[in-house]
Amino acid sequence: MTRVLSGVVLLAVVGSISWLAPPEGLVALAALVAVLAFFELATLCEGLGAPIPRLPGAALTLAVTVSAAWPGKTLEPVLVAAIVIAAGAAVGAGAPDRGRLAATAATVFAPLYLGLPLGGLASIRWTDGREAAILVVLAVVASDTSQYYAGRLFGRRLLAPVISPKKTIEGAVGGFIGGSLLMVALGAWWLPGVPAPARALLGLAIVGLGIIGDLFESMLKRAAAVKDSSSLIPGHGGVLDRIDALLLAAPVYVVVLKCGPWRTA
Amino acid sequence: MSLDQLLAWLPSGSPEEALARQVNFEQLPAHVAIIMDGNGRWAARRHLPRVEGHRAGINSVRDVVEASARLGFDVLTIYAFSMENWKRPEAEVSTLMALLKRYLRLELGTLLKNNIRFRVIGRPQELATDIQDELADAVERTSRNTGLLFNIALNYGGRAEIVDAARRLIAAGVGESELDEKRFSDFLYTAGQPDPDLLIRTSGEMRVSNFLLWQIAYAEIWVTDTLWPDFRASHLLQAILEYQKRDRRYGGLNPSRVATVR
Repeated sequence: MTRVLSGVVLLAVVGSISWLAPPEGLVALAALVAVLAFFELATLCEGLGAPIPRLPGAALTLAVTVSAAWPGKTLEPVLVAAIVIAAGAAVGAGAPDRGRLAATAATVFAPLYLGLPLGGLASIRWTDGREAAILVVLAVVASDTSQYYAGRLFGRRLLAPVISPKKTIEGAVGGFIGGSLLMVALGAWWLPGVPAPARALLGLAIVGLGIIGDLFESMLKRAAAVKDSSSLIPGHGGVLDRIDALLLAAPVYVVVLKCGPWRTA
Repeated sequence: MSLDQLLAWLPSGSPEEALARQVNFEQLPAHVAIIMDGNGRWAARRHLPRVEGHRAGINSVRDVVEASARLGFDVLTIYAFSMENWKRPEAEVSTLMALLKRYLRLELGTLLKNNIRFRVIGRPQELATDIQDELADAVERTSRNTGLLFNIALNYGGRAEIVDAARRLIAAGVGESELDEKRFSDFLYTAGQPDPDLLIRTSGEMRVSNFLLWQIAYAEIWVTDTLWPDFRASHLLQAILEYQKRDRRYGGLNPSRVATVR
C-alpha cells in the first residue's frame, strides 16, 4: 500500500512539474534527481571497492545533466573535466593498487550513466515538447507495472536467476505488451509524427532496455550486498531504484527522436 | 505549377479547395515574402513557453512552402531569424537553431520531391558552423532543382543587406557613372530574383521590421491577425485573392482608369 501511495504521489509531483513548468524547470528537476541518484550510486560503488570522490563526482553529474539538457550546449568540456578529475583522484589516492582502474572508471561512468538520460529527457522538452518527454517515462512506468502484475499472476520461470530472484520471463512478456501498447496508444496523441509500427518497435526497445537497466542496477546492489540504493522513497527504496530502467531506455529514446527520420518537432 | 497540382494536395471539399478555385493563375505574384510573427503570442495564449510557439510554427512553414510550390510562385522568401533576434534569451535562440537544423534534415526530401531550390539570404557566415554546414548541404543538394526558389532569411537585416551590397560593389570597382538601381540590385542577396509582389505579415503588426527594404518598394502588403502557428495554405490563398483584387499602379495610373478619364 505504501508503495502504491508513494508511487502515485511521486508521479503526481514529477508529472505536474514536467507538464506545467517551463523547460528550465524540467532541467532543474533532472539535475536534482541526477545528483540524488549520484550519491546513492557513489555509496554502491564504494561498497564495490570503486570509490568515487563525492563532491567532484556530484559536480560532474550536475554538469553532464545540464549540458545534455540545455539547448546548444556541448558535452565535450564536461567529458574532458571528468577524465581529468578521475585521473587526478586516482593519482591523489596514493599507493598503486589493483582496484584503481575500477575507481577511475566509476568516476567517469557515474556522471554519464545518470546525466545523459536525465539531461536528455529535459533537452527534448525544448525541441520535441513536454508530451514527448513524458511519454517515455510513462512507457517505463507501464512496463514496470505490467511486469510486476504479470509476474505475480503468471510468473513461473526466472528471467535472470543469478541477478534477480523476482524477475520472471512471464513478467517480462507482460512488460513488453504493456510498454509497447502505451507507446502505440498514447503515442498517437503525444508522438503523432512517428508512425504506429515505429512506435511499437520503440516501445519494445524501451521495455527491453528498461529490463537491462533494471537488472544492471540489481547486479550492482547484489554485488555490494545491499537491498535498496537508499530509503528515500517509501516502499520504492532509493531514487536509483526508481529510475534504473529509465537510465538505459531514455537516452536511446532521446537519440532516436533527435536523429530519427520522423517529424517530432 | 497549376490548379490541378494544388487540388491534388488539398483535401477535396475543403474551404481551401473553394479558395483555390477562385485564384487567377494568370496573375499570380512572382515573389511572395512572409514575415512570420506571433509564435511567442501563440504560446503565451496557451500558457506555454515561447519555444512551443516556434515548434508549432514549423508546421505552418511546411504547409506554406508546399502550397507555394504547387501554386507556382517563382520565389518564396520567409523571415526566419533577424539580426535583432540575437537579443532573445540564449536558450530560445539555441532551440530555434536546433529546430532549424532538424527542419533542414527532415524536409530535404519534401524540397526535392517538389523540385524546390533552397537558398539562404542574410549573413549565415555568423551562425554556428554546424548550422552553416547543414544549410550549405541543403542549398547544394537542391541547386539543380528548377521549381520554386525558397529563400530563408537567416541572421538577416534589410539595412545590413544594403550595406553589404554597397561594400561589394565598391570591392568590385563599380564606377559612379555605371551605378543605377538595376546595377545596385545585382549586389543584393536576392540578385537575379524578381522583387516581392506581395508581402505578408502575420499577427496584425503594421511594421516592415527591416525586411527586404530595397526589394519591397512596390510590394502589396497584406497583414492578417492570424498568428504564425495558425497560418496555413488557406490564409496564403486568401492573401493571393486579396492581392489579385489590388490595383497595382507603380506610381503611375492604371491603364483602364486612364482610358476612362480620357
